[in-house]
Parts: sequence; structure tokens; C-alpha cells
Amino acid sequence: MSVRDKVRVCITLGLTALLLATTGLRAVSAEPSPPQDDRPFIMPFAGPPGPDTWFFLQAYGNTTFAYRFRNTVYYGGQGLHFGLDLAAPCGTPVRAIGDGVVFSVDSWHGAGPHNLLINHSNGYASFYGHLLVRSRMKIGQKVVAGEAVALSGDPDLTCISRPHIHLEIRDSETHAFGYNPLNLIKADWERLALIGAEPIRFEMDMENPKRWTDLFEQPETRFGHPLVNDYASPWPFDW
Amino acid sequence: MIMPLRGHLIGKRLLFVFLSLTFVVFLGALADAAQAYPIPSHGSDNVPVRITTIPPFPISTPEPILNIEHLPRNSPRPLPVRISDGDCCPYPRWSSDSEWVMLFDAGEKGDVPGLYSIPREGGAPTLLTERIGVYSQDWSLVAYPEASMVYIERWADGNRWVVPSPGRRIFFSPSGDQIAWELGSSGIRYPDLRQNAIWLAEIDGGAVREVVTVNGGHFIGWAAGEEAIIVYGRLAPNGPAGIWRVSTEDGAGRLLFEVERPSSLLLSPAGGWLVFFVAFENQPDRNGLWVIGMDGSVKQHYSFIGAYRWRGEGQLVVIPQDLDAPGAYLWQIDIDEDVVWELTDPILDALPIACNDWQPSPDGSVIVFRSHEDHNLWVFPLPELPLSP
Repeated sequence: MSVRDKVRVCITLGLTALLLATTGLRAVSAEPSPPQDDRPFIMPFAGPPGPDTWFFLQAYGNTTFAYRFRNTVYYGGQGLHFGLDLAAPCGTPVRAIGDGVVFSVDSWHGAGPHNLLINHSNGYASFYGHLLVRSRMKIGQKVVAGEAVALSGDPDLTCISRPHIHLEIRDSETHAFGYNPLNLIKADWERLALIGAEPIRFEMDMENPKRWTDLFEQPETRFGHPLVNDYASPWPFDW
Repeated sequence: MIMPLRGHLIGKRLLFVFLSLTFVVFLGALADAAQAYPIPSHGSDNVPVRITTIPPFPISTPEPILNIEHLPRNSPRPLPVRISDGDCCPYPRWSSDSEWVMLFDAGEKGDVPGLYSIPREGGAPTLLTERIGVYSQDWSLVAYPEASMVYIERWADGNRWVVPSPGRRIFFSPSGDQIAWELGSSGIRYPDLRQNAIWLAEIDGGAVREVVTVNGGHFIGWAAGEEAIIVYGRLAPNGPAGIWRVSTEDGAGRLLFEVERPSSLLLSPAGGWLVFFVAFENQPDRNGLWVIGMDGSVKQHYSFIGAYRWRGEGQLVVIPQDLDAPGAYLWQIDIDEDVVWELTDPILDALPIACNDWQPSPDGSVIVFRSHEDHNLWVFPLPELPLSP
């Protein structure tokens, strides 16, 4: 190959690289740059949401639903919805949200008919409730993020009335503190919350009406401690 | 001898250039295919563009062909305007003249809790009344509990009276002439089996009657004309489940649409249409968004789900749940015409809506939303549509 040919090849390859770079940039420019995200966990369901798969059902925290049942179902969790509810058809595979070790299967932690608790090395534990059947996982068994560890179910056992999972994130040492999963699981929660005719409703304390009305700014749960939202002036009312 | 050699060299060069260009085009096509969201090109002004597939919704059933109409290319691009200052304020609604955004708040720290208003152009919140409660559509009446009873108060003169709902939350009809309430078993478990009796009364508390009992369902609202109410569930414990139109006179029910588990039901402002979504059905082709006429004549089905509100009678604004798109975008479904309009662009007009907290104004010109970026209220002008094609 002559020098001229080599120059031509270089020019051609250079142009090719330039065109490729331009084309690549055009493709990338359609997407916003990904946000810096150090949340350590992944979603418990594979695949995107939809009417056949799963969707966002109830947020963590000071929800109107938890407030309504603050003296019964949610009393032990300070009147807060101390987990995240995701609706899914019964039998949907539930994935471990992070690497870890199975701590308990069908423990006393509630959210029946079946549940699973996994300890993670970063100080958190993940709890999966309303499972369809007893998980096949064994206590002490290692799991990896994304591994199918259970099947979603329905707390009413019908797979018709309320099929969903209840996902909690607690501390791995005592399991006595609950944290907002939305701050710990990588997902576009604000867009997942864009479903249906109503806003995500949090109970308002009219003496401090802006507090705890956001998806992410919610109190930690200290299980077994007094209610934090037994408001004197609530909205919506306690009809 | 030279010419054939030159010809041979030219041929090799042409082949090289051809292969290079082919490679570039191939890689370009690959890169385009890898683009996260296929941006449809806009057609020329007023020429509808037919898109045979919509951006990837996660459904297992075949996607129906959806006619999406684009706004003319020269339409002015609307910009949201911030109308509040400082961490403010959840659950805004509109005054009936669309001039004010209404919200329950406590103003600045130490101010009085109550009903505040903010001009749609922005400004400081003004305390209208300290009365917190359920307001009628025109904001002239408010209901609230007090000492285990429910009162209705007329804002104009402060007159108030007790209504015979035994401490239960009441609903005002759109005209403000009637009220409704539910009496039923409460609790979390087995909502599909719980019974709810629906009661009606005149606004003054007269003509009290139990109209119907629904099993595994609830009261939704009044149909246009307010001579019928809309409920969902079963009217007979073992009968069909669905959307029912029930006469306010004699409680006779007419099944408008058979469905087991409709979610997030919302009547249009005048009661002519109902929107809801269905998920996890045994027949997957029934999953998705439904809009049905309250005379039972029209049933529109869309395979996606998302957030939705009525912009006007028969005009539904939808935010499809499409996480592959770079941002949330608005569509408008004109039910009568069965046309879907693309109102905003997922890149250029992505709205940072917090908590699904947004509301179109009654005149349909704007929406107010809470921003997850600054926690303030913003008003976004909804594009006006050209005449239907």
C-alpha cells in the first residue's frame, strides 16, 4: 500500500469515526444524563410496570390509609405505612433487592400469609410480605441481587381482592427500625406514582400541614413506639 | 498495462468507500435503534400523523393501533410558571372560575390553618376561611364533622345545619342540591366482599333514603342530570360485578359495564363519562384504561395505564406510564372523536410532577401541579387543540 493509499485509509477511517461519534451523540442526546444515584437496592420485580405486570400501590409513611387504621393494623408501626406496596398478579416472581443472607422464613413479622427476611451487608434488611406460598429459601442461605426468592400473593388469600407485595427495609441488626424504601431502591418513583385519578395521599397535620406529605420525606419507623401522627387537627378528617 | 491497473485500483477504492459507507449507515441505524425513545417526527401543519405503534408499553397482548394527532409544528411551546414561593403546598384545587388555586395550608410559619387561595398568575397565599372540610364544587358549601355529627355550612352567610349521615363523610352532587354518604363495614380485609349502603338526601337534610347496597364496591358520583348515581360492585351478592347506573328515585340498577376490579374511577365534570383502569384480569386484553359513557353507549379501551384527569366533558388528559420515555408527557383523549392528541413532548416539556399531584382548571386552559424539584406549585398552560380532523 502506497503512502497515498495509507493517507486515504486514515482519512476514510477518521471520517468514519467522526460520523460514528456524531451518530452516537444523536442517539444519546435523546436521553437525559442519568442522575447520580447511590441507592443500594434494585426493584423487587423484573421488567416494567403495566396493567399485566405490576404497579405502584401505596407509598411508605404517613399515608391517609395508614392514618385511618393507625389504632389497629398500623399501631405497631407508629401509625405509618412502614413499607411499600406494589400490586402484582399472584405468582409474580419476587427478586431479592440486594445481595444478602436469608434471616427468616415465615417469621412473626406479619404481612401474611407468608414472608421472608433477608439481611444485607450494608446494615439494612429487606422484608417481603404477602407472599403466595412459603419461600423455598433456607435460613442462612446466600442470595444475590435479582435472584427470584419468592412469589407474590394476596393477604386475603383470594388472589382477587388485594394481590400485592408489602416490601419493608429495616436495619439488619435489630429489625426494629423501618426506612423509606423509596430512598434506598433505584427507581423513578415520581413517575411510578403517576397512576390513576388521585394524588398519592398523605395525612396532613393542619398545625404543620406540609410535613410528611412528600414521597421521600417521611419519618423512620420505630416499631413498638407511640403513634407519630395522632393529629388533633387532621386532614382528611377521621370521619 | 497501466490502465487496467488503474482501473483495478479505482475499483478497490470504490469498493472500500462503499463498504465504509455501508458500515457507517449500518452503525447509524443500530444507534438509532438503541435510542431510548423513538421521537416521532412531526408532520406538516394540520396534517395528522399516523403512528402504528406507541412507545413501549409493557403489555403482553398485541398493542392496538393508536391514532395519535400532533399539534401543528408552529404551535407556541407552553412554559410552566411557578405560582408559589418556598416549600409549598400539597393537593391544590381550583376555584370554579379557574382564577384561583385553592389549598389547605397554614401560610407562613405561625399563620392560621385554613383554606387559602393563590392567584393563577402567582402571588402570596390569602386566607379565605379557617374552615377545613369537604367543599361543594362551587365552594359555596362546606361539610365537616363536629361532636359525632356532620354539619353543612353555607359560606356566604355562615348558616349551618346538621345532616343525617351518622358521622360519615358526605359527597356533594355537582349542582350542590343533593348529598350522599356510605354506611358499611370498615376494615382492610376482603374489600371485594364488604357491603356498603348508599344513602341520599336533599342538601337541607330532607328526603333521606337508602338507595342501594353494593357488595364489594362504592359510590362513585352522580350521572349527568343527577337523576341517577353511579356505583361499582355487585348489587346482588352473587350477581354480576361492574359499573352500575342506579335511579335515585327507585334504586333500580342498570349494568353499564361488567368488570370485577375497576381501579381509580373518576366521573367527568358533568357526569357523562367515567374513566378507570383494569389490571391483572384473566382476559389480558381487558387490561388497561377504559372510558365509558354513562348512558352505556360508548366503551373506549386503551392498553396502557397512567395518570388521568378530566380537562372538560369528554376530554381526558392522560400521562401514560411509559418509563422508557425521557420524561412524563401529556396526551389528551377526545372520547367522542376517539382521537388521541400529543399535548407535550417528553423531552422538551417534561413536567416534574410530585406525588401525582396535578389538576386541570375547570375551564381546561391550564393545569396546576406540585413540583418534585422545588416543592412549589406551578401552572402549565395546556395547548389549545386545532379543530378536530
